[in-house]
Amino acid sequence: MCVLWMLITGDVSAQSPALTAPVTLSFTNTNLAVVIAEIDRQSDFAFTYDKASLSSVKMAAATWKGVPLKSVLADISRTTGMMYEISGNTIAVKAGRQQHPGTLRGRVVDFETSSPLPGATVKLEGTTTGTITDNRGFYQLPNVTPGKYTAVITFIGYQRNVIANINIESDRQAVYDVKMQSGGSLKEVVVDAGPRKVKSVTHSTEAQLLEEIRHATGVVSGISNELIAKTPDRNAAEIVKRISGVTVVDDRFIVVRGMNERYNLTFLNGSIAPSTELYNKAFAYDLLPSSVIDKILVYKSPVADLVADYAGAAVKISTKNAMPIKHFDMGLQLAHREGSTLQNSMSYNGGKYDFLGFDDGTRKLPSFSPGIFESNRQVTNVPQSEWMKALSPVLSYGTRYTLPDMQVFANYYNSWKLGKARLYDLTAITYTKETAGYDVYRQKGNTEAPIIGKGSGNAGGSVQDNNKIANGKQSSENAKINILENLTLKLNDHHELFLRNFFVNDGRRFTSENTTHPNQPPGVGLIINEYRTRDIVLSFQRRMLYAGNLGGKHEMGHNKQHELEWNLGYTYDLQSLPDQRLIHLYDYSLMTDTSWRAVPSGYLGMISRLFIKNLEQVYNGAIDYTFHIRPEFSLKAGTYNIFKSRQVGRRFFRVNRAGLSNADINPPTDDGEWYNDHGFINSALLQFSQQDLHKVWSPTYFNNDNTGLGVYDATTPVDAYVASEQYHAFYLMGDWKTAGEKLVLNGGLRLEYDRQRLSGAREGNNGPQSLQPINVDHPQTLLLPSANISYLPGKTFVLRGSYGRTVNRPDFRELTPYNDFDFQNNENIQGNPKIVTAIVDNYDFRAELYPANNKNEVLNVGAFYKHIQNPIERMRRETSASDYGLFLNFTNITYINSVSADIYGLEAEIKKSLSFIPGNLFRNLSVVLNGSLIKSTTVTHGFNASYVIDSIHKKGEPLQGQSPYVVNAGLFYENPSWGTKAGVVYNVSGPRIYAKSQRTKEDTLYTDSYIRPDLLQLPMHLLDFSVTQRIIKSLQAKFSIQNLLDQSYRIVEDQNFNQHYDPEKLVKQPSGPALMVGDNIYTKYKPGRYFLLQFTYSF
Amino acid sequence: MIAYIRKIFLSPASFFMATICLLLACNKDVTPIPDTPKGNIFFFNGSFALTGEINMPKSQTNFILMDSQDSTYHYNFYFGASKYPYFDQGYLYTYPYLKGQWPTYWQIPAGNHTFRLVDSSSSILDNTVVDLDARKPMAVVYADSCGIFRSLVAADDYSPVNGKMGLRIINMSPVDGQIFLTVNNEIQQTLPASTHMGDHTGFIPMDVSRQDTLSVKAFSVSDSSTVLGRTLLMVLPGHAYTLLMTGYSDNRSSSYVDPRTGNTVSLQSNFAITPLSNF
Repeated sequence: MCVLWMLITGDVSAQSPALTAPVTLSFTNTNLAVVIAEIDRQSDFAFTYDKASLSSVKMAAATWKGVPLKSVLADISRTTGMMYEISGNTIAVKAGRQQHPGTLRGRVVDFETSSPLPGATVKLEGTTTGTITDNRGFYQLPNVTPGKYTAVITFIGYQRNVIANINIESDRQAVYDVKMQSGGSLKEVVVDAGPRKVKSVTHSTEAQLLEEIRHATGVVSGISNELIAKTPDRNAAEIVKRISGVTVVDDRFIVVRGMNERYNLTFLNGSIAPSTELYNKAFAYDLLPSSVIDKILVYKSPVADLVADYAGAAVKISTKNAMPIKHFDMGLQLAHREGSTLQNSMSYNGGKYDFLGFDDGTRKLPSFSPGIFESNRQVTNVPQSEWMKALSPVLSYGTRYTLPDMQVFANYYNSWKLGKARLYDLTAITYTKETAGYDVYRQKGNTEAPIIGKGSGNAGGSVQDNNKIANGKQSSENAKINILENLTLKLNDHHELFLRNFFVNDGRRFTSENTTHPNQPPGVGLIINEYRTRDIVLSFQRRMLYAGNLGGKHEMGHNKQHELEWNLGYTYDLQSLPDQRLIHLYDYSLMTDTSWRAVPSGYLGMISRLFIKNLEQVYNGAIDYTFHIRPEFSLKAGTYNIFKSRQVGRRFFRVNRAGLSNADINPPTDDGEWYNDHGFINSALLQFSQQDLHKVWSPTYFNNDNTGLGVYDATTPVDAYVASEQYHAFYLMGDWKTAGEKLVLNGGLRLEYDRQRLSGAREGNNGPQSLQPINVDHPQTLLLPSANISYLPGKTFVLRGSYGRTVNRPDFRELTPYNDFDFQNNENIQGNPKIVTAIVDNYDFRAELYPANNKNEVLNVGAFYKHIQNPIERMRRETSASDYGLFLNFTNITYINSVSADIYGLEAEIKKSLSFIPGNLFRNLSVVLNGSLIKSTTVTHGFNASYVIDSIHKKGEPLQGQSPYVVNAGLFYENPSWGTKAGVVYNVSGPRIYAKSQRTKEDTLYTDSYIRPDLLQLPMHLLDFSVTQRIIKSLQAKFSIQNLLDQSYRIVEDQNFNQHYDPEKLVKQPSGPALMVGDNIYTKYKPGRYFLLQFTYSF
Repeated sequence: MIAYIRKIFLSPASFFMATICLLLACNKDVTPIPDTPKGNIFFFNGSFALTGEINMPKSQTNFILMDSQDSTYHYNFYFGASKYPYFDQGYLYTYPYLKGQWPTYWQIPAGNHTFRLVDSSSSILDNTVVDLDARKPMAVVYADSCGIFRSLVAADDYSPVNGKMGLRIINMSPVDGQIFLTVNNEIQQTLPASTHMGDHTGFIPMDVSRQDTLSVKAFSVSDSSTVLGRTLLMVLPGHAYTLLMTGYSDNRSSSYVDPRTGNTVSLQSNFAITPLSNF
């Protein structure tokens, strides 16, 4: 009936020219009778209506300005159900179906903690309707006339919040929960909020992050504190892998767009973070607990104002900043890892402060020893009794019941007035204790491959007797203390100074036992190289990092058109391995019994005790000046300067039979009595067994009269190196917004001067007695252009394109001839002084869509291409024969410049709310999905049989460390009213080459087959779940499970060089028995599922 | 319930208490890996008959079965060590080997063990029970007198003393009558006046101020003009040594009838003093 009435009126009205006459009126909280009366007054039409019935129809707002009468009537009809009929110059009006008011209700909560906010004001814009939340944060607005509204929510100390497009329907309840962000700007003033003297803290939100990315120069991805809080992540390494194109390897290093950790540069609060690793050029992201991180931005395309030493990405980590509020929160997290905690785990008696990450002096260098860096001096003529007293007697491990992992953190915010200025403070302290224990399986060569046969080329080796299988147990007990102290002094609206201090002390007690046996068919006789060997490692690795930054930001000119930012930084990075104890045993069952006994005297000794120190200090200074010449045009110029020094030293004590000199390990050829030292050595003491280890470090075994064991200082100049790097960069960059700010052009030129110097030594052909000094001096000046174009046709769409040239410089570790022995990964790492800087040309294109109705949503699609000249790749130099490179059966790792590499990639990202799907559940659901597809090719050098690079170029495998795909997906649920957040996140990266063989797929000669193949790291499908629930007030509980699918860490030997895992299978040979063919497992262990329970309380 | 949760979780003291408890627990000493205590044992063949059996008419292996009567046991050295100690042409006089004058040891679980020395026809030549102490190495010395086997178990237990050495005498020689020793041509008052087969001493303290080589000679009490055997013993203060006497002298009959086989065995003089460094 109503429809028919409308159709009639529509038809009739079309014939009446007076219906186009404009109507202007403005009423609030009125009724239909009043509105019709006013229209009647302004119109040429005569209106007939029943005033009483129209008076009962309430109207919250009625505002039209110069709107045609026809449209006004249609609007009123739509919102109130009013019916009307036009007949000639008369319009008959009657009230339609009775419209009943609706209700708006919900809960107002704190953004960060989901704690309810009592006393917050909720008001419907343009009306006088409003209310205040009750003591549980709930609000209810009854009797709201159906229609579209905008609600404004305010609360002292919090940012104003606006919710648009609220649809109130007749007789229905609309539920809108509101998350309030606390004051986010230092301009705000701290105000007491009634009985609560402190407020919770809000850091970066997804909406803010997306806005920043939208306006960024170049291709940027990132994650905000808001999303971090929804994940189970404990540290930056776990957080950063949620970002598009980012992968994390070894639980702490990042790979961006498939480019390995060495291609990525990390900035910590604006300063370059140092390489924290003994064996890699990489920053360990696990050093930063998630509780101190505000946001992480990944800059994937070059810009002139960023240090250009990256190809994958420059990652900017911002720790939480000082806020204009007074706040204190603390949390306790307990976690259980399958196979590691709540059980007996291997460990050893270390120092009494190990649980804090510090050594208590138990492992200190003996007072009679020269310093760790004094590698040209040795300990001589010290009685064995002094050695016994100076070093810990602990050489055996045992078990300790492992309690749950634990993290305790506290964050404190405050500010004080200092004259006209105001000082803001953030102090964050985190303590973490974690245990991870694995059973590690290692294998070289196909399972049970014959010693003689395929692979027995005549170059270098003749047999595969270096094929071994190792079963290891290892346990890491970490204790970490992080302190963040950020101070900001806001002098006025124009000038601001900051002092940011970040301190980490990470101590890791590491215990392992690794047992190796030959990988050969059963029934083959034992020969001398087929002893089973066992190595026990007791170590403590300490990493101490301090990064301090003093800086300022100054805005000058009446329109603040001059901006000056400066930053002075100092970084102290100490890594030490005090008294790393290595015990080398072999299976005595080839001799007399089943004991594991000490190996005979040798280079490493029966026992090695190593003291390693790596000290890096970085001084940096930067100035950036921006001149906003016109609102649409600005120029930026700046400089960045670094001086870095590194000192690395190792003191190497070894235990052999007594009565030798420091250098002796081999018997003189003319002395038949050497082995028993003319009858004075007690051989039973030299053959101590594993069971004797608890009593070996004693005068019984180490007698001053040299009848048993002796300690020797085997340190030589090869055990140290020093290095420095001097870096100066200057840039000029312009930003031009044109075509009504729809086109943004950015171009810049960066001049970088860098000089790396290193001084070390390596052994000559005659061992330690014939040292070769190594001096590296690599000065280089480069001009690096970059250009970015952004096209922003509207607020919702951005199209970007960019080109830039960057570099990738070698780390000192990659340049030094110094050998590192990594006992956790069974690797022997040696640098290559001939490595040069790689030059990278980067091309990027990306389209970004930001839906207007939800600021948390984004969709982007991009493509990139990179060409690298002289890429630096990690290489495996190893054969299957023991006559080349046998060292504890370790894998030999070194570095090489390949000729070139080309990388092509596609990437996409979606962040989308599922509220468009009907149903209450979907209103609180959102998805994050991102992924990259990458293809890379390399051209590499040929090698001759002596491992010397020759002039032949050949097609290589994909770039070392590069994954062909990366996928991140997350489904998140958030119900602010209940204080519930939940997330399921999935991450996978495709197989990547862990270390590249010098052999390629093209090397198919029989003599090539003894060279070990590429090591391929296989994907781990990581599925994590997390749920956070507010319990009472601001007490939150968070429960997470990581690695739900219980995935294994696996590296395989890619025997057919196809970058794909082809598991081994038995294949009958044409002339012989069936053999295992395919890719064999090289390393495998299960990290286990990880269960976390965290409580956070804000005071 | 809420009040309880509040009490448990909201108190900063609870946080700290939980933390401290967890931290203190981290510092406990480790529990040693459970392992059977093991002791060290050394076997010495001082038997003329056994040595003859190993060498003649063809090389053979005489096992010392431990806690076993499996006299059919044999092994292939290609695949590792024997389950049991043995004497053969490689280990003719000792198992395991001597290095210089230092014994090396076979490591086995401590406790009571029965060692059965078997001959080539699997007959048990000797049955010895040893209570092996994990803290003290032990030596089992086999000898025979005219084909009748016997053994002696000696525990090597010595605490070093500055300026002194320890000297132990073990006599497993089937020589008729008593034997005495001279050191550097002097009779040592601290040593026993004489010994005969089966006698042994503990480690007798003797003054020694520096590294020295001692000349040791053995004489029969009945004939102090004829040296039965001699050796040089290298000594250091703070260490302990054994002088082990085995073998026949000229002062005996020229043959005997083997009680096991009934064969007549010719005897040859093979008296020897073997110096052993024990600590």
